[in-house]
Amino acid sequence: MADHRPSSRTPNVASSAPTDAGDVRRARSEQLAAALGALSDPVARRDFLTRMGAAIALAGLGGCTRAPREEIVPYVHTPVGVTPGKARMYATASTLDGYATGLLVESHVGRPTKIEGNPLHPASLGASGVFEQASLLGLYEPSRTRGIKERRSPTSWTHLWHVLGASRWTKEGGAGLWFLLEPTSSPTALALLDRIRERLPRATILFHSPTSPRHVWEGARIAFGRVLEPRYSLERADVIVSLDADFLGSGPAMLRLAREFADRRDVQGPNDTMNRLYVVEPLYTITGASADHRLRVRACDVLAVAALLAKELGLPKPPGAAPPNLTEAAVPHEKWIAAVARDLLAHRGRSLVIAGDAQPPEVHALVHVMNAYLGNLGVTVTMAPSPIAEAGEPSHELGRLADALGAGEVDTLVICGTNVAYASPTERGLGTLLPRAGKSVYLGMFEDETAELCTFTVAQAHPLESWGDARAFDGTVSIIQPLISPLFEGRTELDLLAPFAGRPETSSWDLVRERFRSDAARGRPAPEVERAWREALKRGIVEDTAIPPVTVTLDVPAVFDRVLGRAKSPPPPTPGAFELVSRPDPRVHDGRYANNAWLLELPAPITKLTWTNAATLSPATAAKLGVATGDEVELRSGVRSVRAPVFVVRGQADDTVGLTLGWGRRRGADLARGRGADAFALLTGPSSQSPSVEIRKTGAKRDLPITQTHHELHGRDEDILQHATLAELRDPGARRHHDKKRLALYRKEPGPSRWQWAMAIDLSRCTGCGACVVACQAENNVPTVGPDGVYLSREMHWLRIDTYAVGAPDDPQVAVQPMLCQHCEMAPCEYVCPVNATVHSHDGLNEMVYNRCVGTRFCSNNCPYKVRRFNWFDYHEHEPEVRSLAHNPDVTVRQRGVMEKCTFCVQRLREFEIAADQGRAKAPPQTACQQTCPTRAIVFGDIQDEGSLVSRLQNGDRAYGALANLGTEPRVRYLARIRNPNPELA
Amino acid sequence: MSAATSTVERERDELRADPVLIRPGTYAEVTDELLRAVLRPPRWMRPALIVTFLGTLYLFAAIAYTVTTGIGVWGNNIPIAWAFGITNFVWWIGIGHAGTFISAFLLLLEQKWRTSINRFAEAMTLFAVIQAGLFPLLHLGRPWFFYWLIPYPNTMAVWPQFRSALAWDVAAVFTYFTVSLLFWYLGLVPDLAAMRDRAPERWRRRLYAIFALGWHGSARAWQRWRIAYGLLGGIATPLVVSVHSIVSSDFAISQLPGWHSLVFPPYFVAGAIYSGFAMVVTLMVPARRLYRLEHVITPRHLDAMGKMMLVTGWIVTYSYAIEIWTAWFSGEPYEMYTYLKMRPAGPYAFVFWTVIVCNCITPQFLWSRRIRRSPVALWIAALFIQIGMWAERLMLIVTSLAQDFLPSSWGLYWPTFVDWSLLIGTIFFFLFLFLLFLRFVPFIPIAEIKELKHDLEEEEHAHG
Repeated sequence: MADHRPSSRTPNVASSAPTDAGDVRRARSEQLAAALGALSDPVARRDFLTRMGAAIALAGLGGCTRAPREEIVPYVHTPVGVTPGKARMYATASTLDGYATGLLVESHVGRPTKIEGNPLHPASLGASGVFEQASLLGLYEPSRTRGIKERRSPTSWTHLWHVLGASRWTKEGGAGLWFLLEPTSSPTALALLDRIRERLPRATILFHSPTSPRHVWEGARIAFGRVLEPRYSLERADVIVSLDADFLGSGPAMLRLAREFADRRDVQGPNDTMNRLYVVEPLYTITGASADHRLRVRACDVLAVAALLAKELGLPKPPGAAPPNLTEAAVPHEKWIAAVARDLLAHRGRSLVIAGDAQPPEVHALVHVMNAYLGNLGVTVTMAPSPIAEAGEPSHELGRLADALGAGEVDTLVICGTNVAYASPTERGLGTLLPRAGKSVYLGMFEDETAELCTFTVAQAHPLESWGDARAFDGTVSIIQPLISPLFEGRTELDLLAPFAGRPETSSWDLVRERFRSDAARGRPAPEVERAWREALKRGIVEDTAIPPVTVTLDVPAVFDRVLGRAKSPPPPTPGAFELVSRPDPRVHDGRYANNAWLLELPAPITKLTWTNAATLSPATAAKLGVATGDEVELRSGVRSVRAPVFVVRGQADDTVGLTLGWGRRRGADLARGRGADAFALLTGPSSQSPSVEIRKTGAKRDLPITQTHHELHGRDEDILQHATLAELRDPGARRHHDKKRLALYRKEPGPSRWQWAMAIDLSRCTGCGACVVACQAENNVPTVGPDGVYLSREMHWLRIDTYAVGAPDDPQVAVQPMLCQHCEMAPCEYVCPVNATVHSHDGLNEMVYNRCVGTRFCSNNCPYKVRRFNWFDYHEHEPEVRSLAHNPDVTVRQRGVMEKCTFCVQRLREFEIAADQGRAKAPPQTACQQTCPTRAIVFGDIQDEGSLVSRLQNGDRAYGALANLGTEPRVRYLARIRNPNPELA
Repeated sequence: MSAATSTVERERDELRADPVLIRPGTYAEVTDELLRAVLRPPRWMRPALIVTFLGTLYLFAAIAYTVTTGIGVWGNNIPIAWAFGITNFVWWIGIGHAGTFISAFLLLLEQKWRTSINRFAEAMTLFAVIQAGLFPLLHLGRPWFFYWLIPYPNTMAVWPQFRSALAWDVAAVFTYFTVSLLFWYLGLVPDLAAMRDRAPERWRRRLYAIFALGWHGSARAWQRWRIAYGLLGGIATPLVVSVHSIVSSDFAISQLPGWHSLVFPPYFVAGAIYSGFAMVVTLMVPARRLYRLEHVITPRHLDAMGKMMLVTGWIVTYSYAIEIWTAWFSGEPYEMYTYLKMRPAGPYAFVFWTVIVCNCITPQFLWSRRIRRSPVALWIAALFIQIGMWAERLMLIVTSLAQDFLPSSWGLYWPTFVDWSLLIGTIFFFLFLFLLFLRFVPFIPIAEIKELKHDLEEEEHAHG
């Protein structure tokens, strides 16, 4: 490591500000920022080639690219040198609300281009979700803030520390110094925070995320007397009851739970068993869509359902008379709940009740009691301490900060990563109180609402630019290693905290290594520790760091006390008001991803809405209000109101309005600014009660960018989306003949090839989470078209998730179907192209020759699946140069006027074939959608190989070809969706 | 024999009672009168040319915008990848059918009444095909590579894909345009010679002399001219059938419900002639009035045109009925959905009902001889039929695409102002070309009228 840092002066923070002079990193960053600035300038396009030429020459001279200074270790092979054109994978991790998900990042010559899940990581198991997939684009977002700014004008790191060092708190042991961090599980950050507390005992450290599982922690405290988190083992559960828990679509273990759940949905033969899922929820989630039985109730009535369920289970009666209103709201559903209870009782020790994060602590506590009573505790659910620092402590509440700001007690406020001015209930008033801090420093990626109110803004490094560490939901530590040095002079949280901890000269790399050494040393010799470090970087996890579950003792009376206490003090009913249910958005979470075009254009799982959120209402509620989809309404809570478009969702609870968090951004999210409505404006403080809102129709109309407007199958189930119950599948008499014998005028023989590629998609496993959609977009350079483009039905996704309503019109089941090019053997698109631009390959791909396409679009008209996408404009024309760095160099960026569609990731297939031809045996190729799929619903492979999984699935009982009646002979075959309804409720 | 004779006699009587030429003067007078329109253009000609020229400029502005920006400026999308562009193409090419039909078909059938209107109709054909030809080019994503649809030897050794009807389409339209142009021009040669002889200015005489190809009216020239004209007529006649059959294959070879139909070729040809005759009437009625040619284009012509529209209107109506019946009879759910639900009751139902009213109801008025012979009534009927035929193509293309197999991919199409600009712009361009034709070329074939006059007088003498 080059010794380029200024020599340290005193350990005192006040005078120990690192200087800029001689900081190589800073100098480099400045040069780069200048270059990037010029690159983003459209007039400098011609210069780009010159600069690229120079850059390549320099890269040759320097023998390195934009790889970070410190040594990072590739996933499998230690590099001898970078081979241009050859991608390498590095293991790292990303965090959300402090919990880590392990990743493998593909790097092309020092440029990260694709993110995959790390198979060794407990929260990933090789899969990744939409946020992980899309975070790549966030790295190259040109609107990220750069360097250090004081009131929006550039300044220096030295100046920042000069100002901070002159503050009062430096002399008063940290009095008046407040930290507001994102919840963190990072051992290194914790060590730094401990040092800060040591040195500045009067400083206050708070954590904030609007989506922290605070009620989970509190629920465990009620039930067990200490803060714990439940860990589920869905593979052991035969019957699962979700009480407003979207465990397949959100939460730190979501990817793992989705895999475990799907593994129990997979029936290949009539003798296989499957689990059964009951979901009680107010809004329609993907977990609800995967349910065998779904009960729609208001969020505030879930407690009543839980209480009634507990009663039906025969739990010992609480002392004293239960207030009648405890279970009142659930009484209409008594039959349903009783059946669920019987099913649970029949599966003692093999069942599981899960409470949703947003449900009040009492529901969580009651669920713990039920699980214990059913013998599930310790079997399908274990309790373990949270990996999050100070979980459940008051430091996770904002109230103290608001009070202190109001009282003028905050001299210096340091905010790391959390956009608190936006992402906290407006009632808290932080959006107005922040300027009352003497001075404030905000470490953030964007010039957002918080940056506007803070004295200093420090550009935050993207996780792919950062050194760090973090724990998974089960405590397993991952080292976060950078793939690229910061593009916009970003700094990490560790960089900003280190000077406060008296380590101003220490880079985050040093800090992470130091912490690792001290944890891993345990008397081991240094070379061994070094080997362990390299192993940790390579594998993406640090072995044996999981936090073991603890044995717990349940305090049943305390639980009943709380539950009854809550029932005794019901909120005063507001006439004409509706319950507001605001949950993290499946695309922008709490607004932090509102600058990510891939996520903005990702259709929301059930509504298929893009680029905005909407006030979702049930049909009955909408009728009562006299509104329909597209009408604008005003939602009012007290003095604050927001305007949102209505979206009518069948299957939502009546008298409930859903509005996801994260929209209606005011600053810092150029792409999303002003889109949708800000639910934080309507939220009230820390209460676990859903706020009630009044709804008024404004008379205005909004055009909603929706990718799918028809959800009826029109009786075409057999052709399009086959579904059956487990009983029907087992009954040989009822088994349907999926593919009728067809007469063909002429048959097409497969071409001469070593492989015949094909895909099987299991509709029983697919949850419709949409990770594959983003993965495909990232892998194949699929452009986004913006809300107007989506409104005109011009979205470019090669892979889409179709949703259909099955069953009762008012309360339908939602069935999902990933739809992509079916690579028909008898492709209707091929024979109508006048210029041979779409042709069949020997290995069974329907190929699209972009160079040859003149854009007649006849192929799309003749495609019964309508999976072809047309470049109506040059979608890359105005793309900032920095964003084009996200492109996969193995895939063509398409010109305007040509058709495109799913290629089965042909670039990966050809890479595999070349390697195989050269005798370099590699793992069979995976398509991007397959690789990221949390439930492994997508299986790809060679159907010539009879032993391959795809062959077995394609020839299984459940396999069918979509619209196979047309004689298209698709290479993609679906496996019918099987549900396992309770006969008692059927 | 006697029956046949009596039929001929009856026809002759009818012809006398309902002449195709009224009060013709001497040959010189006929020539003078028909040339006057060109030599001394009417006063409205200049403003009309200016207005249509401006409209044409507007068209080219819209074209430039489309080509430079991308066809995203149209309202098309996925699933509705074809809409106004192809609708306009099929509509214009359909209009282009009447000219050749009138000239060639009726020439071969020796229908004498065609003489007064044939050049008019042929010119209309050419100009309509020019409009039609714009759209397949413009609707391409990359129009600069349109020539890849033409089979030409090239270094890439790649040929068009001959299974695709679009490749046939290019050939069919090119052939049709070429033959129509030759046919029209050949018919024009004697009259260009007349212009050369009569034009007052020297430059005009020079100009017409070039195009008259040295015509001097010798008997030998006339004889060869007649053979050539007859041959071209013979070649052009099957083209009337082939072009629109092939255009219909653009849809029929697909497997989309609403497109995949065997009835398309005859149905398209009938529809084309239907709209073509309507366009001839639309142009002829005002021209006849403005140029005071009521004695050359007589009520008998109007009557004949009305009858043609009635016949083709019925063929079209029958085709609609057969399509719907077949869809129902097939029991194929997708077909049934398109024909029985989507079209009459879907989001584009107003287009369907426009089609029914304009194309099926309107021609029923033509049963009445009075309406057929009333220029105003006939003109209004023709306008309705034009609108109806345009709407029919829109219905065919858009409603079939909007809701096909997977409900998840269903969508709607609404035209943008560029879509409308191109449609309206081509109407202006068409009218502009047509006015140029009226302005510079004798639009009633003088030689043929004189021949007709001669024939009629011969007959008079023989029977009178």
